[in-house]
Amino acid sequence: MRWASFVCAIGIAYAAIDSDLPSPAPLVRATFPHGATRGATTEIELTGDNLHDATGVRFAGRGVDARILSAFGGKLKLAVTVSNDAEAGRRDYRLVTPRGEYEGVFDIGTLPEIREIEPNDDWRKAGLLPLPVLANGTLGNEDWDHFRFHAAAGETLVFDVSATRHGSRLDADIALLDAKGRELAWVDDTTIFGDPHLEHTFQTEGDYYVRVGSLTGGGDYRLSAGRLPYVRRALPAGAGIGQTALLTLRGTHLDLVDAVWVGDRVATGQILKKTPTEMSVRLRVPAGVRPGRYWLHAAQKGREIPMATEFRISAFPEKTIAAEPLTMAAALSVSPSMVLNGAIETPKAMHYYRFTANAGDTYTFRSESMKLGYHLDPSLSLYDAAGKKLAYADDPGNDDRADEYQIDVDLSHRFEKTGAYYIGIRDGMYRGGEQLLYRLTVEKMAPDYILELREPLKSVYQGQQSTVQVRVRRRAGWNVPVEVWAEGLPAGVTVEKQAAAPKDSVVKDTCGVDRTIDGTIVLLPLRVAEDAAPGSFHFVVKARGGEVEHAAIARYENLTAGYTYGPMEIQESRLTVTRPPAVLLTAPAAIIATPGKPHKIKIGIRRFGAAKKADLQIRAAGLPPGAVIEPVTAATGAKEVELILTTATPFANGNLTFEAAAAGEVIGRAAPSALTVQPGSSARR
Amino acid sequence: MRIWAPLLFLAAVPVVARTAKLQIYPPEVRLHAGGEGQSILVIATDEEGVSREVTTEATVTFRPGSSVTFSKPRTVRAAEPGNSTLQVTFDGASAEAPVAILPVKHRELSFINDMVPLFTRADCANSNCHGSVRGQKGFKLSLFGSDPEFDYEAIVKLSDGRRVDKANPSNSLVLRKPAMQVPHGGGRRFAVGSSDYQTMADWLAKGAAFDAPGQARLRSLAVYPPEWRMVGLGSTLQLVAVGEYNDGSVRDLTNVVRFSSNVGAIASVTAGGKVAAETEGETAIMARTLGRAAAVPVLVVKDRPLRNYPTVTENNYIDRHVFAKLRRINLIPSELSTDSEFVRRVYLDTIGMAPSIAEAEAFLASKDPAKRDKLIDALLDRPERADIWAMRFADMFRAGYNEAGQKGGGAFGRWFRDQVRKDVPYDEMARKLLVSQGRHDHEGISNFYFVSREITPEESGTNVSQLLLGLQIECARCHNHPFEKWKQDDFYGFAAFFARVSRKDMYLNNHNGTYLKDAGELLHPKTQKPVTPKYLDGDYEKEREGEDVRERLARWVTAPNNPYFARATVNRVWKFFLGRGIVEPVDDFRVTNPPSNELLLQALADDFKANGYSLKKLERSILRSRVYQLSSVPNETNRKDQVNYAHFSVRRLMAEQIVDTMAQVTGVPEKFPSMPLGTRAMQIPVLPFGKPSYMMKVFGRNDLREVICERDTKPSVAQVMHLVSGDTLQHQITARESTLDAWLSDTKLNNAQIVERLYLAALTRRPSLDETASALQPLAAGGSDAVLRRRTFEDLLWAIFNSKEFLFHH
Repeated sequence: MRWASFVCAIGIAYAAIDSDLPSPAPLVRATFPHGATRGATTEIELTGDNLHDATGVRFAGRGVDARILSAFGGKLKLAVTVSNDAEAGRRDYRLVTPRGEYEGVFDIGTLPEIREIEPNDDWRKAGLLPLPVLANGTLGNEDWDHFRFHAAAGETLVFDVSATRHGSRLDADIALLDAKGRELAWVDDTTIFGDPHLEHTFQTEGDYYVRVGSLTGGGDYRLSAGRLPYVRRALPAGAGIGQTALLTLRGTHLDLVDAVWVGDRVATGQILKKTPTEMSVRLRVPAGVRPGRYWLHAAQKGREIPMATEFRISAFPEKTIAAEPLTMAAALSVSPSMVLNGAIETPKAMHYYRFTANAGDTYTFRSESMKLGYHLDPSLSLYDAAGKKLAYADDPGNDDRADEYQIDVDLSHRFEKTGAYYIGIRDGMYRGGEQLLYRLTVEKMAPDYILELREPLKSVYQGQQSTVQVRVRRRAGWNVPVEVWAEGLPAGVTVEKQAAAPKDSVVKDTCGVDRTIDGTIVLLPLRVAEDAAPGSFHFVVKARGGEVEHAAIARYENLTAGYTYGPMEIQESRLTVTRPPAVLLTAPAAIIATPGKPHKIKIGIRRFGAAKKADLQIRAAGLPPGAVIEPVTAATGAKEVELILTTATPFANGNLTFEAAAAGEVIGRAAPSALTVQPGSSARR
Repeated sequence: MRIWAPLLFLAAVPVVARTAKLQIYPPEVRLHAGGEGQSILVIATDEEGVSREVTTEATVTFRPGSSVTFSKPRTVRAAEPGNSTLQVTFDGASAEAPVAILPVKHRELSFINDMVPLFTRADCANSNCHGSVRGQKGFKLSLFGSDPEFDYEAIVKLSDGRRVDKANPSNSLVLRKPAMQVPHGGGRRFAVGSSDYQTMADWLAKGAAFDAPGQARLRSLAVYPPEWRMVGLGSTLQLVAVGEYNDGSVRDLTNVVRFSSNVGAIASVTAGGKVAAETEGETAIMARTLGRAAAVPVLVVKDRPLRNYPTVTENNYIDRHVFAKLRRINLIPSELSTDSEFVRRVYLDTIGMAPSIAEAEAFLASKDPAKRDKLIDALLDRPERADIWAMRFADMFRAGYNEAGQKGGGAFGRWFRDQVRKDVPYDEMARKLLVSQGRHDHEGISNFYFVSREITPEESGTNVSQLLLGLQIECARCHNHPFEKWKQDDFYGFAAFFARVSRKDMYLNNHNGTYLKDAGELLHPKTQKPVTPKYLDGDYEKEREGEDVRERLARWVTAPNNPYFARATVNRVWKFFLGRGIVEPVDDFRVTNPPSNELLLQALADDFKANGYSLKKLERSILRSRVYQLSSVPNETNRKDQVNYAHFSVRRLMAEQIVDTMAQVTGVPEKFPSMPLGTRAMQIPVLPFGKPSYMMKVFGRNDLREVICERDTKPSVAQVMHLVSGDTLQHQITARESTLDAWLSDTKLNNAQIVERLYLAALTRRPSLDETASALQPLAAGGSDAVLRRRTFEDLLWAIFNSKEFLFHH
């Protein structure tokens, strides 16, 4: 099944006032570079739709600011300044325009950064990789990027590509080549996200090459390389608030690590022991730290390759296995509610935990591995004291790719008898290994549900009817309907309250196969009056079932720029109401002209409402001196016009904007275009 | 001088040879007291190894012999139960066989054991008559009587029972039609009054009943002699068929089974089992009844053995078995290949490319008598060897099928490459494959089962039996196998081992994996009851709690006493190097498709097992054999041989071998879609979907390996046209900064030396004087036109690359 098709198959009802009216919301399709280093200001280019009149960009967390430099066509240039003490790793940003907002992800690095220089498809034309370094690159079709570096005999170097995990579409692989271009090593999909990671010990001193490629298409990447510490896993992968956890980190060059901490230094670790491949860290999580998702940092003099896996801080007591509890006899006794941390190191193994439940209790067993970035495909089995299997749960259902990894499974069970029980966790594919790490939350809980807002950033036109997509997920046997509604909407905008029946939604994918969703899809009908006030408004989606009321968590939904997942860091949901356009013009982002020679420029026209029946004058405004474009009339129904640019010799580079006017009034503008002189021309300035 | 030349006339010398050995078939005679008796064969083999039947000429006695009698031509009967010994003498030779006389067995006329075989024998139940999938004219029988219950229903009950007239049995259609008493599209199958007619009439007269419960069913069928060489065209042989039933009874089935010849033009067979030699060649005579089949491999040679057959050097056991067979059929092996032929051949087979000039020159110049063995050992250690093996496995296991695509298929290919590099024993590889699970794009091995969209037990059972055991049991998915012993129960029993194997969607884009469901069972399509796993031709198996029953299956598949695994594997490997399987097709081992050289096949399998299932050691044995190193040039005796390896089999190279060798010759790397420049074709186990390489495609490399099949190695017009004017060749010969450019600009090389280099690089031999002169003819007028000079060598390259000598393995 192809997920992209599956997403389409969900079929959200979206009734526009004009069926041809495009979304006014900004959409970033590509970012380059997709990150910036600390202590510097970096120029970043965003490419996408509706970006040209962006008013600001703000980042989650502390220490990152952005300034808009320019906007042409579908491109927006930013200057991103990162403070010296900003937390490294992925973080969300929000791009704000008058017609809506966009939530994207961005990577903060700690290494000196370079950019690849084409052509470098051939290893003999590789650019230099001055280790340690972070190289930013972009792959197109039939594109490979080669970098040359020097390695000493016996030296172990780390090569880590971050692409999908910071929102790129690139499914990268990396290869190491010797001095004659022969492949020494090749990796693909090392991390759960599909990003490759390679460590290699070089037998002889010399020049070598690293090649970044892809079997499936293009996108941007960030390649970290050097003799750098890298943590493959941390066990436990979380800690309880107010508790002290003893972490065992495994990786490479860990003897170089001089500091370990969590998040934006919400908790600091004390290094107890370290070898090149393993280190022990005592981590105290102070009271008052917010439970949730964090990054664990292990750095050498402030430099680090961000871990591919997350670290959790929970409100429960936590326990970590010392040895794999492989039989019921060896089961670890636990007292709910608590979090259990372990790793299925032995193939085919199941880990057993023993607990006591009273008749009538409902327990939820919540496994996490892929959500954390590890490889375990958890499956859970519940047994009674005699070893009889009472319940089994594997994958909870399919979902669209914007969701969290849905094969981390939950199991809820209501116990009929008081007694001892066992919960077992194993890999769904009976694998074992270092990366098959898990957190298993055993929670005695009342039936509950989770409310998720799947479209937290919504842009609508006046007079439009639309929907807001919400998901209700049930836990611990929740079995009553839930009413869902929205609050904080402006005057003229209404949302119809909906009831979510306690039944998982089933959608057909494009293969015609029914796919069961984990939860119920709720489409809240949204009506925007023609006189609704334009502007941006914070709104909240809430739900109530029985006595339980929740506000929705804002989550990524079908983020086209990559495979990020989970809740947004910036949780503020916004509804933006705008006036529907009369005309949309599409102009080239860049016009390159030769002085003295006429140049044809095609302008696309899309009309809405009354403009469909009007003659339009298409003209250019803001032309630089020496450039002339005569207006052209686009008759009713014309979808494209051609304007002729004539230039004097010489003329200056500059910007211009194409406009559409009806009855003398400007009713639509294209995004600005950059006019430049043909490179190599004698009139070049 | 060719050693066979003076020997040919010797075949015509008349020979009178004495009997050296007598044999009796069946080796143990079993019959019922007071019954129909059992046919026997007495075979005399003379000093030159020529055998003939002498049953009627031999003196036959029994010890004790009071109740046992022999009636010519070949029937033994007995009056009382007991044991006896059959003694025969002929031409000074003698032989004995035990005779087991079983208690009296009163045979009732049986629908199963008399009527059903009758329909098979009369050709009513074959595949182009009522045994076809749709039957004939509304009357459908099971194929070759494999399903008696079905047949009874069809004859007695269907069509309102109009085929049987119980009130007037002799008026029954089922009797009158085959006897042509009424019009019958299939013509007369037996005459009124014949024994078959009478059998059927009797059964009808007795009420046309089905057999009582517990009626004995045929358990096994054997035909004697087990194999035969017919010397002289027109010579004949009588076959004897023996059946054993599940109640322990036996029956002479010689006149019950249906005999047929796989190739009637070589040896024909009568309904009574008399085989006649027609033309030289090899075939098999099949005997079928009640869904059982047996085959007798038959060789037909025109002349008696060559008396002065040359002594041929044997390098190892492979030569011993191949040459012994060749001697039996009067074929003399071709001479040893030249060093030039050998070095090119062994490079192409082991690392997928012809040798470089330096490699070729070093080998050709060496005077070391052991240089071939040393080269083989060196090549077996080359890393490129893993690439060609990964490609063979990628083809075999359909890497990249379904959404596995280039990522999953590539991971699968890399897994194979890694296994070969480490010389992981093949039995271990098979065990890993059989129990594989995991993400298709991450754990490459997990793609093993991902060759059907939803990974059904039936598909998995079919694939495993075909790929690892060389058995095609899929026919039995819908009906009992027509030619083999596999029943529907066998198929579903085997498929049940995979009842829990399934596919799951995972995360991110297009990712999925193979896994074992927590619970799962396979329902039999007829009974709708869960099927218990059952080994092929073996016992039932039970999955224990917490166990993956595939592990038990994997142990069974790879057990040294498994009758299929090692033989199927060595047969495939043999084909990789010799161009034809000992059993062909390689995945169709069955009684009715016997190996062309059973002893060779078994010896290879034994060697493979003894060497710990090492592909490398097996490969070494094959490459070191003289058989592998024979010239492809045939001699007068073996010119027509295609199955006995009397000469090396000329065949087209794989697409990857052609392209990679071209690129090596020209120094111009070929660019493949989605692969970086410099990647060799042999390193690409899966081509990207939607971006086929035309060159690869026309030369038989499929980008989607949709079915279990081997590559198409046939030449085609498309191949010719692509080589004549396609992009690949044009690019290779005209690209700049090539090796040719370097040579042309090297002032130390003259034109003749460049010609020699091109020949050495592409064909691994030096050109003849005529070839050099011909190649340089355009430059004969002299002058130093650089364009003409380059074009001349481009033309030479074009001609070489288009030559059969370059494109074919020889």
